[in-house]
Amino acid sequence: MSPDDEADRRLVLAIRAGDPDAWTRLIERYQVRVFSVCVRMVRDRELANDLTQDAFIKIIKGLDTFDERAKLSTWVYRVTMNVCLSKLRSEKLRRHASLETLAAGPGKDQERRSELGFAQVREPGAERGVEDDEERERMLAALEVLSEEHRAILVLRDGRGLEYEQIADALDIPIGTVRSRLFRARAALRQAMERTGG
Amino acid sequence: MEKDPFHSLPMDETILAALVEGDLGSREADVVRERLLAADPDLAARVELMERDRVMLRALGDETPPTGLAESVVARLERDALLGLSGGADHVSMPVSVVRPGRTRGTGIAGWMTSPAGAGLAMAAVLALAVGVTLQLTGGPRGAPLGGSGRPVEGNPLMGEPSLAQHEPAPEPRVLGEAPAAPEQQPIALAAEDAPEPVLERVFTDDPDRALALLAEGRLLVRVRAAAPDAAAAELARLAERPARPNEAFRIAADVPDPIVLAMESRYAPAAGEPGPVEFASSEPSHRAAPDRPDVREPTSMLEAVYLADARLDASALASLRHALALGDGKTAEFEELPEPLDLPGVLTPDAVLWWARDPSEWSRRGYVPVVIERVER
Repeated sequence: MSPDDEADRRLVLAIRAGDPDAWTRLIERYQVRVFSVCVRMVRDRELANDLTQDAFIKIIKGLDTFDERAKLSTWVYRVTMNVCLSKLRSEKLRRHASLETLAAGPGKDQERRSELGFAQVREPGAERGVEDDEERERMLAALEVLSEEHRAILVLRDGRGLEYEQIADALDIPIGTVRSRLFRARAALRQAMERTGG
Repeated sequence: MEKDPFHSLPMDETILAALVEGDLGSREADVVRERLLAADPDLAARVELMERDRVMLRALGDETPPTGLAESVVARLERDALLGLSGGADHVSMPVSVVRPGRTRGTGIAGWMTSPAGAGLAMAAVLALAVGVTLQLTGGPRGAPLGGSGRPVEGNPLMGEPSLAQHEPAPEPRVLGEAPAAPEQQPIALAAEDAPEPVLERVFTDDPDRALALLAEGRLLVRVRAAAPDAAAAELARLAERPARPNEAFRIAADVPDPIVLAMESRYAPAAGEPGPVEFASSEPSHRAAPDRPDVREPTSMLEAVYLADARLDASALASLRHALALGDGKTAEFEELPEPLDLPGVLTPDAVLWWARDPSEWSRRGYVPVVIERVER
């Protein structure tokens, strides 16, 4: 068991033993990871903040259903992804009853995403491993136009470094589907990058 | 010399995926790239760019969450615990003990409010407001705001029949992929003796009295089936833009709560291998995913949009709603009976809270009814 996994195991034991501070330690331990997933999925920091809180509420309330044979991190990502995907799906179906909204072109995904507050994001303090901001923004914009399923798998694989088995657990899909979906997600991302000049 | 197996592997998605993901050793990767370049240079260039994209994605890094996130989460948990919304975690110690800033006696209004007299008056005002809100939320059918004109409400407290029901905490919104809430958190179902006769069709158009009864129970749905869902949505938007009138028959709500949207979506896209949840009666072939599909959280294309209508609780208002939604070419609108009531929200508007300011002859009951738009393939 890796040191990280051991730390998670002790944290779960502490929570189940009734340590009132253990919840805060759990949140502090996972808040960057959960928030990063939410930002990548919805591309709106304010919405991501709300979804992060929602995810932690569900994690804390549902910890008694956590099977310790799986990794805590995988389970946390699973709950977080469910929160994000549910929100994105519900936004697709919820039609704000406004003529202005419809006049903007309800059939166009990118315009609909603007209704959700998808704005260009500059995150102060975020580590910049990419050479220039333009390339980073192009990558983020390309990620945004992917389907939720493609975006989710790329976020987990490249954003969080999850292995195939962990991705299969987090997204509740067969492991064979992980490989094929991942490849198609990359192909879709490449296509999106080419459309934005990347 | 033994032939390198990578020289004979078919260049299919599996091997390309392994190349892009870095699952091949360096020698094997070189062989595959060489073969790919020879067979299809354009594809080779694209695969190389996909590898580069992967590196860029990994380099994006983490996002810094806002400060106070842990405190916000704990505050929400405390609130849920106080409201009895702890969910399934009652047996686990909830983080309800947090350091709170000490109460200080402020100046001006803040200081007056913290004085005993000011606190008493403030408490009286809050109590009066709370009574109005509570009666509005619980004094009628689920999600029924009061307002407008009409006959006096049965069970109105000022008529001597208090109808203060204990407010039930809203169940946790159901997230796709998670188990449903514990039974005790489900909306109260009808008692067996109140259940509708099984011989009745669940979908109907010509029985507004039945629709009225279902609306009062939170078990009514309106289905709009349209060949052109966008046109149907435009019509609904037009209805929503109408100026508000007192005691109007119905109104399209400006927004739909997430739990309602998700409840509607879950009815159209059940998980693989699981029986569908409550099914809509339909004469059309089922659009559910075949049970042997391995990868299925894909929503069907049948459900196009979810709206919420707020209707006066009388048969003519419901008939008007259905008629308005059915107008236009290629559209039909039907009532449908839901087997379980939906947890519909209460409406907090100034009119609803200050109902006591109106003449009793202007009181009326209203209810929410979800409206779904389905695409009909011709």
